[in-house]
Amino acid sequence: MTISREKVRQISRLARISLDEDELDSYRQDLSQILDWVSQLEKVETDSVAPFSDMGGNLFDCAREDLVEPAPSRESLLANAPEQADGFFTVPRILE
Amino acid sequence: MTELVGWSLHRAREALQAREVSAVELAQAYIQAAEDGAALNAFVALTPERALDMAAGSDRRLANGEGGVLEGIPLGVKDMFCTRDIVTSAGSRILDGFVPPYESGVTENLWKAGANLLGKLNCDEFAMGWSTETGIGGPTVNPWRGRGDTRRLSAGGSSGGSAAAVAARLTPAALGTDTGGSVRQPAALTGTVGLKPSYGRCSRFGIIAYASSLDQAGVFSHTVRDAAILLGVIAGHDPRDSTSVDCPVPDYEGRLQGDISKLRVGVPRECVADGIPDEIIGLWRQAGDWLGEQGASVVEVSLPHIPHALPAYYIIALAEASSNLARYDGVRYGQRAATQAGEDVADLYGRTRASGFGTEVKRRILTGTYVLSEGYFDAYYLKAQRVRALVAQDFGSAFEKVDVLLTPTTPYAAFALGEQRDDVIAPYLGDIFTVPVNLSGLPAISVPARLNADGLPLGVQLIGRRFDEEILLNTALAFETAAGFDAEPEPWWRTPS
Repeated sequence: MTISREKVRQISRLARISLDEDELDSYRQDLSQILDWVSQLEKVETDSVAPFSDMGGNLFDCAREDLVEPAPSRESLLANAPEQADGFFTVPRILE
Repeated sequence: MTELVGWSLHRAREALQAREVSAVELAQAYIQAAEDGAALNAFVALTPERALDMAAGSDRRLANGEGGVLEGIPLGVKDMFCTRDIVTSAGSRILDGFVPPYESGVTENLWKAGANLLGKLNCDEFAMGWSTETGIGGPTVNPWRGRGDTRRLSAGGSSGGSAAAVAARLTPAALGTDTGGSVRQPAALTGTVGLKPSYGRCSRFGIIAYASSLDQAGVFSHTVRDAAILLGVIAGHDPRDSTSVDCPVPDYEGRLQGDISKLRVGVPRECVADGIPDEIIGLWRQAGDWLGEQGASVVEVSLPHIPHALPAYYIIALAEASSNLARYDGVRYGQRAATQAGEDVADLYGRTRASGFGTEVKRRILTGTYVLSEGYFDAYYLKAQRVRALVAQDFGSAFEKVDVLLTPTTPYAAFALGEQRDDVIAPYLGDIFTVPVNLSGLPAISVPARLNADGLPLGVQLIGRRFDEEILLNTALAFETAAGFDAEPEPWWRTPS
């Protein structure tokens, strides 16, 4: 199966990864190959099972008491920020 | 100095406790070995000051008769584990220079037990790969070379740095991570022991996430006993990881005895697919014979859905990766593309991620995004999770008849670095034996078996029931004894100091 260029462009927007035209074509080819290969699962009879979601039943409720515990300092959390100001992470405009 | 690096972890521990050698001397020997082994590009960063500082602390504790299970043992750590105040980059440009403000759960256990950080080890970018070629650290070279062949070979991936470092004795043991085989495959290609514990056995807190339902910390060592020692330290509940199980950690080392006379071993017949080379089939047969000679009964079992495990794995892993890697947006940490006038935050994300991620990572994020997108989620992701449930059920049924499963670890020995491929799928097929294990959350170990006709190591995989690492390690010990693998690579890489 081949997916369309428009689909790849849409996916790249969802994934927030800018692609130029050559990359678009290259990833379109890759995705088509991968999706082609994985689509063999369509033939597998799966009506008898639910989707695997609980790691075979070893999950448990781990909610804890809502008590404040020590947290990393603001300085340590800002230390890796590419841009910051007044204790905030700064970014270009978000809203129109 | 060379003698010290020839020791197994447990021999080194004996020597430290008997004060035959100091932790500082041991650290110095490994620092020297790692520096001499730079040609392998196993380490992305050595941390000699940290190692020596920690070693000095170990010596004080050892002198007082105190000390943890790993007191004074130097260790390398795959660069997927957050090590506090030490740069951690997951092999990616997008995390270049990132300094974690916290320690991962697993490495915290290591340091509490007295181990010393030797350095961070190279890997494929975000643990996505099978050859340790895609990381910003560049390719790691396998210390093994083919007989009469000077080509540089891959140490496998994604934990190639960890595997190469242990095989070349640049570190007595190392941490890796395993999502689809990234500890077991490199172990097989480098003649080392590689253990992936059950999902939930160890904490994933502080491990840079690739696929959250598949990732697990793992260890590389020279011996099964060393792997058991390390597992005892890294295993255990961590309240900061809600998928880590709250059940006691057995004394894995203490319970090793190597008696498999009542063991039932299963060989999955559907794994014998076309295209598996004769030498691997031969290895598989021989491995079964070795276990039989040690008293185990070896029978065929059926895992009928195994042929579908690979595509199911790739859908699930890539979907989960697309979600986990969404956090790399250049806002809170990591690299950010230079801002351009008039752009908004979405543009910044787009350009940051375009320049920050490598090709394989982008390929996986895009595919994962597709299979999770509206209209495709049921057909791909949910379908894959149903197939996964069938694979897990198959293992469950098999484990009613047998205690351990036996397969080769990989359908190949170490391959040349830099091989170009047009077909993106072909390398995925090499994960055929390892991936079903991660899908089902089972523990598995690769143990070196023998050298092939080219003089390259081959490994065998043992798979256990979930949380039954005891039987798994015991079987591995018996196999290790039967195989008697003691070959070492020719140290062609060593620059004289």
